[in-house]
Amino acid sequence: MSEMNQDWIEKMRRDYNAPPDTPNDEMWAAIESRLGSEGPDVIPISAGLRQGRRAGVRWLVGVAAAAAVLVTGIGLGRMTVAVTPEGEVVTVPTLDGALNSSLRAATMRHFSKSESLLTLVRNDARMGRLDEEMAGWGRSLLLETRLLKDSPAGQDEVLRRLLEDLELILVQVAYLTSNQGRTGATHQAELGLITEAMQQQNMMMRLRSVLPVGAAQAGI
Amino acid sequence: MSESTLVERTRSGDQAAFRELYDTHVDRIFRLTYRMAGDEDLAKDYTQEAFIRAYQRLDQFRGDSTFGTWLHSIAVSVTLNGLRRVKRNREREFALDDAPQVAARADVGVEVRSRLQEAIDALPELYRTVFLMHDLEGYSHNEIATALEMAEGTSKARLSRARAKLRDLLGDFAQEYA
Repeated sequence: MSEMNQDWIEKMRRDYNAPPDTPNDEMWAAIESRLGSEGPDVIPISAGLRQGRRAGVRWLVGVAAAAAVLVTGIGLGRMTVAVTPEGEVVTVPTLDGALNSSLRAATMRHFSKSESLLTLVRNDARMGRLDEEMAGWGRSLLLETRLLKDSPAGQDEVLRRLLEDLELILVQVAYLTSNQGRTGATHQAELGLITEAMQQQNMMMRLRSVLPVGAAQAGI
Repeated sequence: MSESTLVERTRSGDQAAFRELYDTHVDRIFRLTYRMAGDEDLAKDYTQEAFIRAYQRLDQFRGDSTFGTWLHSIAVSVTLNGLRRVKRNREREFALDDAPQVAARADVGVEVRSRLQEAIDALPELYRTVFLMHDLEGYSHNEIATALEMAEGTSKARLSRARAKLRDLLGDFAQEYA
């Protein structure tokens, strides 16, 4: 590489999306919280374990209500595994088994769009601005959220909890941008409250955990 | 303690072992996701998600590569997918006009960074990712190839083309920039 190019690369390294100090402890706290906050979780330990009746995308869900399943707390925070009386570890049934393919796809698209809206909300809060066009998007997603709650998707305990928490945040977003009489400072304060609520509920990570890796390529 | 031992202990539920794996790799992962996303909140989200997914899928880690390389492949995948979703959904919902943002950067006298930012952002996704990983974050072609599931030769070829593309995009400006 020529001297010019090497110098060029050095300048790019310094100037292009230069990372700040890594917030190690903050992210670890969020990881611990995330892994422990979904209630009893199932850790698939090895491929030899029985997968349960409904295979597919594995994500953190509540323990199956089946009487034969025992819940044991182990290791990381409040994480748990579900163990049958026979000593086998089972994964908890996932979204796939509860919904037909159309509803499953619609649910995932909804979470994908919600993730994008909340990303913009968070960015606006940080940059001290407010994009009025998000109001319509927020109201649209709020309606979808409520429809999904009333659909078979809302019958899954953990999914319903996510939809309910998402609904509360979307209500705030829709209300924030729809009230024309509010001052900029008030809007920013309320944006701050919304992003704080998102953080406390680990909303972004919960939304992404529903979406399988490769969802983008699938158009989700 | 070796990394393979830490992985085994993590599988057994040893929180301290997982924390040690985390501490070993988090800085490099965060730096990479930040380079790709250009946003601290997104970088933190993607970093956290990468570690969570790695923990969830530890049963799938066979030791064919190092744990770190495997973790990086998850992080790159999570970040690329996340950025694609945000970009696509945003374009669906309302049109974006990036021109004011570019003008704003020029107005505040950061033309150098503006041109640089635009040039790198304009690279096709995989070329940009290879460039960021190799030239800005110091990954080897072997690491990049594993993370992006490509041949090492492909990584080298894409890096070469990314650099050529940047030279074209920056044009005579590159002489001043250097």
